[in-house]
Amino acid sequence: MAVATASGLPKPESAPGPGAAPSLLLRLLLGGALALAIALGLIGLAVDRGFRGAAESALKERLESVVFLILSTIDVDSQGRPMVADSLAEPRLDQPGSGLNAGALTPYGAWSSPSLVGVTEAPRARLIERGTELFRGPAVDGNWYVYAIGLGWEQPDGEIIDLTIWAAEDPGRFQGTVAGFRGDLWRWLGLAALLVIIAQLVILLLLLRPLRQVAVEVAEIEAGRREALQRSYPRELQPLTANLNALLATERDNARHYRKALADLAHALKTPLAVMRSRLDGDLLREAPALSSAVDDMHHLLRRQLERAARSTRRTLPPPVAVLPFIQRLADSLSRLYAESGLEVEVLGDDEVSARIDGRDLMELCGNLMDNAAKYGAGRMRVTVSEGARGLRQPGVEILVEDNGPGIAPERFGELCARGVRGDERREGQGLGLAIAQELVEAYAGSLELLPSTLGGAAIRIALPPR
Amino acid sequence: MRILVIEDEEALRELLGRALKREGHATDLAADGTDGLHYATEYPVDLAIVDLGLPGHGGMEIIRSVRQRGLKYPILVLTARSDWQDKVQALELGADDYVTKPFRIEELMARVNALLRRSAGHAAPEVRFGPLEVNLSSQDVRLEEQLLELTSFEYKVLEYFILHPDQVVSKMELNEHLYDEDADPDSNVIEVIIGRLRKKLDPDSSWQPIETLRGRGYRFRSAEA
Repeated sequence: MAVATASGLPKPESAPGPGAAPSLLLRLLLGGALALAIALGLIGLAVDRGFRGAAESALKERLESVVFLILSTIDVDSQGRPMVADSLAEPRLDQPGSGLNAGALTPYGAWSSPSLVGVTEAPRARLIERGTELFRGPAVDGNWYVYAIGLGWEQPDGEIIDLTIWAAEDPGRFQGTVAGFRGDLWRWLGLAALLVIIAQLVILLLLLRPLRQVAVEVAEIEAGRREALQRSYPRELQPLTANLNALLATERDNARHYRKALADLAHALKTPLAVMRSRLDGDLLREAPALSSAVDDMHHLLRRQLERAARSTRRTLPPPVAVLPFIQRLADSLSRLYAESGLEVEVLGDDEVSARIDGRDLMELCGNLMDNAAKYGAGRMRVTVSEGARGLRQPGVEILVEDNGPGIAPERFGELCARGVRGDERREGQGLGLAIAQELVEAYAGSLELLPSTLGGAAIRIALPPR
Repeated sequence: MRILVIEDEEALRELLGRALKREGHATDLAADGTDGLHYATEYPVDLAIVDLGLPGHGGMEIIRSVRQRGLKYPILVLTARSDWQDKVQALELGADDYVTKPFRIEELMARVNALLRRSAGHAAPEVRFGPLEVNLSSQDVRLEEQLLELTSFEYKVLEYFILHPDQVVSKMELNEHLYDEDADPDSNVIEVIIGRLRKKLDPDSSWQPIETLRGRGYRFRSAEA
C-alpha cells in the first residue's frame, strides 16, 4: 500500500519516557528497615558481649570462693602431699559428676574432690608459679572453666613448697545461662524492630497522604473533572499547591486572553483587508493586479501567522475529549454548508474514543481536512474514528478522512502540507487547510499520512500518539 | 429583497450596502449589535449578513435571538475569525453560511443569491415557471427562450414573486422588501410596475402569472403547479 507522509518531515516516534522510580514509601521503608537492622544488630552484639563478660566474672568469683574454701581446710603432710577435710561446705564437691570440681597439688602429691570421680576428661591440673592466679575457659582447657592460685606452703621444718589450688566447672551451666539470655535478647529486639517498622509505616502513610491527595487532584485536573487543587494541605505543602493552582489559573487566563487578543487582532486586520479586497474587485483589479495579489498574500500570511500564534495557547494538561461528537458536529455543519452539492457525510467510529487534545485544536484539525474533502470531493465523504497505538495510560487516536474526489498525488502531498499551496485551483479556498492540519498534528507529536481511499479519492489519516 | 447588514467597520458596511444595491436589493445597515438586533427582529428582513465581532450584542447573540423568535430568513456570517469552532458554533446557532474576511465581493454576492434561492426552495439558480425561465444568478429572464428586457425594479418585483410563489403578497409587503427603510415610494408605483410586468411576461394574456386579489394584494402563480 503506497503511503505518503507529510512533507518528508521525520515521523515523530514515541520517545521512551523515564522509567518509574521506586515509590517514596518503599524507599523510606527499606532505608528505615536497613538502618534499624544495623542499629539493633550492634545493640544486640554489645549487650550480648556485656552479659557474657559479666557471667564469666561471676563464674570466676564463684570458682575463686571454692578455691578459698579449699584453702581454708587444706593441710600438707610431712611428705609434702596435700590433705583436705572429707566434708566440705560446698556439697557439689562431694557429688560425683556434679560439674563442680576442685583440687590441690604440690610437687609431691595431689588431691581432688570426690565430684571428679567418673569424669573421663578431668581438668588438666599443673603447678603454677607462687603468687599468681589464672582463669581460663574451655577453649584452652578442654571442657572446663578453671580458676587456680599458686601459693608457697611453709612446712614445719621451714621448707617452703609450691602449692596450687584449683577449682573447675563444667561450661554447660554457663553456656545455658548465656544462651538463654541471648535467646531472650534477640526475641525482644526482633519484636522492637517489628513495632518500629509498623510505627514507621503508619507515620510514612500519614506523611505521604497529602502527596497522594495532590496526585489524585492533579489526575482529576488532567481528566477535566476539576480546575484547581481544592483540598486543604499541610503548611509545608501549601506553597507547592498554591503555586500549582496559580500556574493553572495563569495558564487558563493567558490562553483566554490570548485567544481574545488574537480574535481582536484578526478582526482589526482582516476587516480593512476586506475593504481593500472588495474595492480591488472590478475595474481596479484590471488596473492594479499586483496590488490585488499583494492583498491576497497579506491575507494568506496573516491567516497563517494567526493560526500559528493561536496554537501557542494550547494548555499543558488538556482534558481528554470524546472525538466522535466533534466529528459529528463538523459533519452536520458541512452538510449544511454544502447542501446544494448534495454532500453525503458518513461518520463511523466508537463513541468511547477520546483524545487528549484541546477541543479547538481538534475542531480545527478535523475541520480543515473535512472541509477539503467536501470541497475537492465529488459529493461523498467518510470519516472513521478509531483507537490508535496502545499507550501506558490511554491509547492513541486515528481519524481517517476519505473522499471520492480526484485524490492527491503522493509526491505533491508533502508540498501541500508544508507550504499551504492550493491543491486544486478550481475551488475557492486559501490552500492552507493541509498545512494548518500538519502544524497542529505536529504540535501534538502526531502525524498526517496520505493513503489510498476506498471511496476512490484522497484518504488522509490523522494519527495522535498515545499518552 | 431586503437585506440587513450588521457590520461595525463603516467602510466595509457602506461598501456592502452599495454592492447589494447594485444587485437590486434594498438594504438596512446597522453599525453595532444593538441596532443590528433591533433591525433583525423588528424589520421584514429577507437575509441578514452578520459580522461576529460586533460592539454591543455580539454576532452569535444576534443569531441566537433571531432564531429564538422563530425568524427563519437566511443568515450569512461574516467573520474575521477563521477557526472552525466559531464557524460550527455559528452554524449550530442557526446561521446558514459564512464568509471569512477578507473576501471577494463577487463571492459574497454569489453566496447571498444562493442563500435567497435556497430559502425559497430552489436548488439551482435556473427557475422555470411555464414559458418563463429566470436565472437568479445572472438575472437573465427569458420568455419562451427569448431574452426579456426588464428594468432593475421590474426584476426586483419578479424575483420577489418567484421566491414567494403561490403566496399572497400585499403592496405593503412589496414596499417593505423592495425599498430601503427611508424611501417613501408612491403607492401607485407598485401597481404601475406590476402592470408593466404583466405585459412583458404575458403579452397575449394566455397564462396570467400575476393574480390580483382585491383588497389583499397579488399572487404569483407557478404555472407548473
